[in-house]
Amino acid sequence: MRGRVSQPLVAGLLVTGALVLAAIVGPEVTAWRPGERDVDHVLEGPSQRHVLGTDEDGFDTLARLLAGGRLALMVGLGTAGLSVGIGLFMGLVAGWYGGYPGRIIMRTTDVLMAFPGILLALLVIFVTDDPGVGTVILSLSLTAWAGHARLVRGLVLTVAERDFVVAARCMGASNTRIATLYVLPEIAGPVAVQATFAIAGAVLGEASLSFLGLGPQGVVSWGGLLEQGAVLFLKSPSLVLSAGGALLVFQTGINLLGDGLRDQLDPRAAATVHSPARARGPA
Amino acid sequence: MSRLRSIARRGLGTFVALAGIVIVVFIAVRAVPGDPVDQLLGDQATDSDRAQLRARMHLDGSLAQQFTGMVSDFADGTLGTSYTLGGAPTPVMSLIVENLPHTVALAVASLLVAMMIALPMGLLAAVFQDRSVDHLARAVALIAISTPAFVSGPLALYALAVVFPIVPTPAHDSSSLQSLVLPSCVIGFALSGRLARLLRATALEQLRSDYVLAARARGLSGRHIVTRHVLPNAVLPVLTVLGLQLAALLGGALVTEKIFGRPGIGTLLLDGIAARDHAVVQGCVVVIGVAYTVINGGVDLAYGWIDPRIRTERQA
Repeated sequence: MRGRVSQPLVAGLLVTGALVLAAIVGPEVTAWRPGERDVDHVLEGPSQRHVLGTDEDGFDTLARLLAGGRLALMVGLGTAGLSVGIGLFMGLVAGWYGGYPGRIIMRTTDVLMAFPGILLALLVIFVTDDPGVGTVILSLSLTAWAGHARLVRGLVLTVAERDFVVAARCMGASNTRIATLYVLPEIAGPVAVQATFAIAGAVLGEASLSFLGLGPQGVVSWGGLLEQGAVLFLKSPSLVLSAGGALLVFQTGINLLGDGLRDQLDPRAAATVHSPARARGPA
Repeated sequence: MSRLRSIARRGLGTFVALAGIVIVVFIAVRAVPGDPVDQLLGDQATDSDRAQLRARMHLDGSLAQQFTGMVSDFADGTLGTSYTLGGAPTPVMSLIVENLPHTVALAVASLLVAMMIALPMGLLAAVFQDRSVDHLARAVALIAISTPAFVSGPLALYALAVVFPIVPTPAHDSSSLQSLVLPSCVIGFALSGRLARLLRATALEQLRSDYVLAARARGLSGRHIVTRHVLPNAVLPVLTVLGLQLAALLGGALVTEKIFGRPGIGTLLLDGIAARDHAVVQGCVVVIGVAYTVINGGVDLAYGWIDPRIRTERQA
């Protein structure tokens, strides 16, 4: 670690860590199951029996919120993993090997990035009649990899000029060896930062799809809870407040984590923000 | 590279993207399980009725013929015919023309609000760097970035329409200017975070530059330097992002319109999906995609045109 650990990083780690823990452990320890109905207590506000209240079917909001957290985690990590994986591979091919495959990859990213992501995801969902979690991850990754591939390609192009890569090449290291053992570790930092933001984007994408009623079917999602709550919020605001709050805290946590990670890994980027030779205001 | 060539290259890129959109939509609509003709006519229809409708929907013949059928629908400006929305068979284009103004009005109003928030916030944060105003502005920006409109939307609705009933609830009259107030504030706030951050960064860069030092040495007031010299230079990249956000708002219309129960092209698309109306889905996706692509391409061009440094950098 170079110097001080950045504050946003610590804050982001704490917030997301707490949420991840809640999503993993929570559903096992709550009094109610997400699929369990308490028919005598319908559309109630927070009480001792139901900490965050119940919805119109008597489902416990806290239990469903935690179940939604699991889905968000699954979709976020799944989409980020898949799209960053594809992006890394494509970006390495385009940046390191170039040539025709590289050109085709870059033109494909052009087309994908010229298209609103949610619209393409929507088309995939429209085509599959009964979307599951896998379909949603796939549909979100379909456009998300393009941005990662571009970033990786740009990074690879700069690293390829560096002396240690040239030296490795002179010593007869194979292309694959250089690409994986020399280039990849060098670009890992910025890619990790982007992967963090990719998680936030994927969670938001899934929530948007579920809010539109086009998310994974048969599971509880924060977006779905928001949609359900938006209809009911005049009678019982606790559903909107808790689902919205969860999404908000999660997004803030991940954004802090990404910002902090970037400051930590790239002191130059941080320096432009917290420059010691700061420009004093006119006051 | 000459200006003309860069425009031509950009235009070609846009064209390829548009062709990509049309092809993707063509494949997607045909990959949907179930026969759209059966869904429309039900079990009782005669074979000749089916054949007739199939021909009118360009669903007979080879894939190549179907594709030219779709393209001809685009070329004659009708974008195909909807058999489910609007009662009688209606050209998709007239449905879109009816709905698009609502989407555009909301997008423009939201961008105005976003700029009204982001300009003072970003500029003050830069001028008072690392002081409490800056910390506050950055915290607000982080919250704005992290708050999706479908979270803040229902919350704002609850707060303003129920707790303090001062703004019209969205269901009232969606064509009135009043009904734009709440949605555009919510979306504008969500957009303002990124803009304020960017403006802060670019303004800081300008504040550190030599010409500011020179202006100060000449004895110009701080206010004058910031408003007349720093702001015009710092705001340029922000305007680009604003253009990109306009494009994103058209694509994101689906969510925003659903939050506030407003009509628009997003609502039309969702209705089309719910009714499994291929022509509507196809038409809406292509119109949104075209608008998005054209705005993005236009912003890119305008940027090079406004800022000569970009042109020279590209030439190098």
